[in-house]
Amino acid sequence: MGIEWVVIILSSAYLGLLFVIAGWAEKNANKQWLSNPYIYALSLAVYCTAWTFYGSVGRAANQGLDFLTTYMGPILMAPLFWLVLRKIIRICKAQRITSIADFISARYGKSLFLGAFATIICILAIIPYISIQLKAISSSFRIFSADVAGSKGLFFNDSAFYLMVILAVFTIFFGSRKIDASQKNTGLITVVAFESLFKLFAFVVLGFYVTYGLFNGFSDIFIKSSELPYFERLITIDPVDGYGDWFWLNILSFLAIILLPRQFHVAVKENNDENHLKKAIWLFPLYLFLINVFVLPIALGGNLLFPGNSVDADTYVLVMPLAQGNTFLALLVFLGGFSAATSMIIVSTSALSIMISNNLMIPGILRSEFLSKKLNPQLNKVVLRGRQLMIVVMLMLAYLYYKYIGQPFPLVSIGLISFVGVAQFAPSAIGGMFWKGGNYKGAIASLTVGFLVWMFTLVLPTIVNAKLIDATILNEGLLGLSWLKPQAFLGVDFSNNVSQGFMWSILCNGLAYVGVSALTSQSIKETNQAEVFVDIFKYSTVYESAIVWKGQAFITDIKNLLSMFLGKRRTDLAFERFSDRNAIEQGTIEADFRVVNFAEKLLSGAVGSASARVLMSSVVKEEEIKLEEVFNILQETQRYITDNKELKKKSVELENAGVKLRQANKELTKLDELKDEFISTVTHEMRTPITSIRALSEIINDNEDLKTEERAKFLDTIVEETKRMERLINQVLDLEKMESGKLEIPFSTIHLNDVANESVRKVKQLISEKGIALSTNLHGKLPLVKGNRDRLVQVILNLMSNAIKFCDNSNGEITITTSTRNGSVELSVSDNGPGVPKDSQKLIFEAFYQAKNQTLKKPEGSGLGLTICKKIIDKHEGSIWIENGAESGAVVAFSLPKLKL
Amino acid sequence: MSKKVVTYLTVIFVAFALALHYPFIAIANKPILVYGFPAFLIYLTCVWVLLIVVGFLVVRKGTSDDTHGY
Repeated sequence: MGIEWVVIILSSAYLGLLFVIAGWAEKNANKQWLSNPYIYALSLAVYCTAWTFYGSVGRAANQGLDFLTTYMGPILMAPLFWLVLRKIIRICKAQRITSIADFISARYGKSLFLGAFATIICILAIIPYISIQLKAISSSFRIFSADVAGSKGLFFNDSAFYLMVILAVFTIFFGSRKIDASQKNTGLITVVAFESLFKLFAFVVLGFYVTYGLFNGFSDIFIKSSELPYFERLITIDPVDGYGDWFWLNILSFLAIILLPRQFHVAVKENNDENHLKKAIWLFPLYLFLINVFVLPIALGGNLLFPGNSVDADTYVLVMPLAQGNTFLALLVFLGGFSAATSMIIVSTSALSIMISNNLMIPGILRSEFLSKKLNPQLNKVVLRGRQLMIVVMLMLAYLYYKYIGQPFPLVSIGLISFVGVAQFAPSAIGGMFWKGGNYKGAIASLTVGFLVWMFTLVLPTIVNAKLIDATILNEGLLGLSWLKPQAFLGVDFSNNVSQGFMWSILCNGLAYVGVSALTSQSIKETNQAEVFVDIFKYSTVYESAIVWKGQAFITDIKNLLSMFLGKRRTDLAFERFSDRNAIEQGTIEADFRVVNFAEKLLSGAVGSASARVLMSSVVKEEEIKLEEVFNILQETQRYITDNKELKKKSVELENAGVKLRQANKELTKLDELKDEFISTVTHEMRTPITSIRALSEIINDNEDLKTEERAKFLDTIVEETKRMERLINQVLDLEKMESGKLEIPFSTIHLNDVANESVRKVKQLISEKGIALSTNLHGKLPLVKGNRDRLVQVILNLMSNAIKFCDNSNGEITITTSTRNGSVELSVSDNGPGVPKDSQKLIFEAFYQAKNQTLKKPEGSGLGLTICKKIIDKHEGSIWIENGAESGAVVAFSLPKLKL
Repeated sequence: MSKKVVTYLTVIFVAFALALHYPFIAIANKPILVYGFPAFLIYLTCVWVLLIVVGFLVVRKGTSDDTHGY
């Protein structure tokens, strides 16, 4: 079995795999993970065709870095995806636009003529482009089969013919499944994403093989090839003409990444979620980077291995592994190039088929009375079958072009000429998206001028080169006028034909667009569309009311029209949902403008916006609208949107206020409860001393014969209890003052160590009496703090007296430590008592906590000490807390903010 | 993504469009090898990688702003 059979079997198996993947993806189309940003970003890489795969290396080997201009534009567009592409996506979703031709036609008042014109430009530009993919596949196939005759044989001997048939079947199956073209083709997109991964993989594997297998890394190739005579030209841009070419070709690819029908198809029509653009902003340039890293090394390596142009540089990627006997790698590379070509063909033909059916076929049928009568009953079938037929026709045309016209051209030149063709949409499409003044006449002028200059400067020389017409026009100029030479238009001679053709066409085109738009006026329908396109982010939520329409229409008529294309079931369902959403009553007979706009939008998905317009006007009776009315209604819509926003804002504010009120009420109730509780606790605490004072006083009063010692003891107790009461009352008053904010605490700059020392001095006597060991551990370089010395002494004393109370009875230990942490100064008092249970550590600062907690043995003290401490520390903007020591005991600590200098 | 992030993205576009064209590219457009690599290629690679990294960081910022409800 010859190698060519292996290639045939492998490519058939590969195509089979594509069918399997597409079928599987269609089955799982509703799964969330199939619509992810990675698949979206990979599908954008349909940009890299066989031209990238074979042609980039060829161009790099002959012309050097010039090949990068195809990728510089797209990576510069990537940061603008969110600004530009998102706007296109939003517009197309609102109006169910499915192709670039529809987009232009819709912007300028849904013009049939503009749509048809744009479609024809697309066909002329893209068919040769598809044909070079076929050419790339068949010439790569010929490298294996060594069949030099190749395409000269009859079509049934030609591999490209069979490939075309299989691709037609595939595209019909997965690219034109649904009548509503605005629905997503998950299978198709998944396959495109898979092919993008595959071609990248194949190219990178080959790159590694050449760079590290055939040579010793990048620098080895560069150093070795620096001996090639033209090396300097390959690694730089020509400083005389190069910068201009570089600039214009970058702009060309910058526009192509948005305007090419296949890019529009994957980036806009098949977009599921605007947010996917975010990942694409960096992922797409990354993909282009990876697929280009090895291009120059492979090209230079090829020049080194095959000196003197013995091998066509376009085929280096295959010939290099084959010459080393590495057939397996060569097969992988072949499949990589194959995948690059097939994905481009599949997407381009399905995009073109929709374009043709929307802008040429359906308008044609509607115009011809005979056809529309005959086809009326099954128009939906006609649309779908027509699209499928167009896929076959497009592929046939591409095949014929490849076989009979396109042979003599290298891959790159045809690709670039196609780019220039679609770039002619830039002024009318992108300009119309940001400039309301652009109008229909301007768009017609722009496309006509751009198209003519393109044909003249770029397409004409190709036809001459193919020897279809005489070369005199190239040498002597049109009508013998030397300033009308196609390759030196207006007498300016560029080194690079493509950049000069692009420059002249886009400049004349842009000028015509701006000039004619400025000098002429817009129709009313156009003004409306211009408004909606440019300000789409204002209107996309209320799209149906943003299109101004006046007239009379009946819902039944509209429904009948729609069900001709969408089927009865889908039409009913769509209407039901729309009526629900817009509160339109069931059984309404007459359609209002919202229904008309909604129906037109639905229809646009199936037949394109221009045809939808024609169809709708056949079932509704429209009235002339005045320009003022359009503006009035648009203003009203805008006011409605802003009012709505205001209203929403107000209601959110109201809700927030309500929540706050409820919270405040809750707090008040809680405070009230706390107050009650506080009063009852205070009175309870006061009753105990009063009871004992009263009891003792009564005893003294009733028993005059009491012994002096006993009397003295009782009186002592009375004094003690009175003191206790006084203390309690003082503390309650203190607390009350602090809570009401009446208490002023004057601050001064103090050193916390001094405060600690003073406090220690005050209790030293008492501590030594109780036999407790007191130690201090003061930080040597403690920062200063702002605070009130007396109040802080009060806090420390309180903490120490608590420590004394809870200390171990026999050998108590108390430590006072000062330290700094994170810009604050800390002081802690630790003891070796029983510690505080974890769940009480927060509650302990509440008033009368110890009183409430009956399980604790009640020690002396009012129960307000820690609460007051917390208040004082709060006034210092510090914090106080309690935790248990490392071994035993409690540590009460507070921190104060460091003095800011 | 917030208006600010969109502004960042536009600024990135302008900055990189300048970096990838004359006169900036003329700085590196010299027929010399630096450590075995053509000078111009090194320049283009750096700019390209930077574009990817900056794009990634800005989008990540925009996305995290979104999830925090700005």
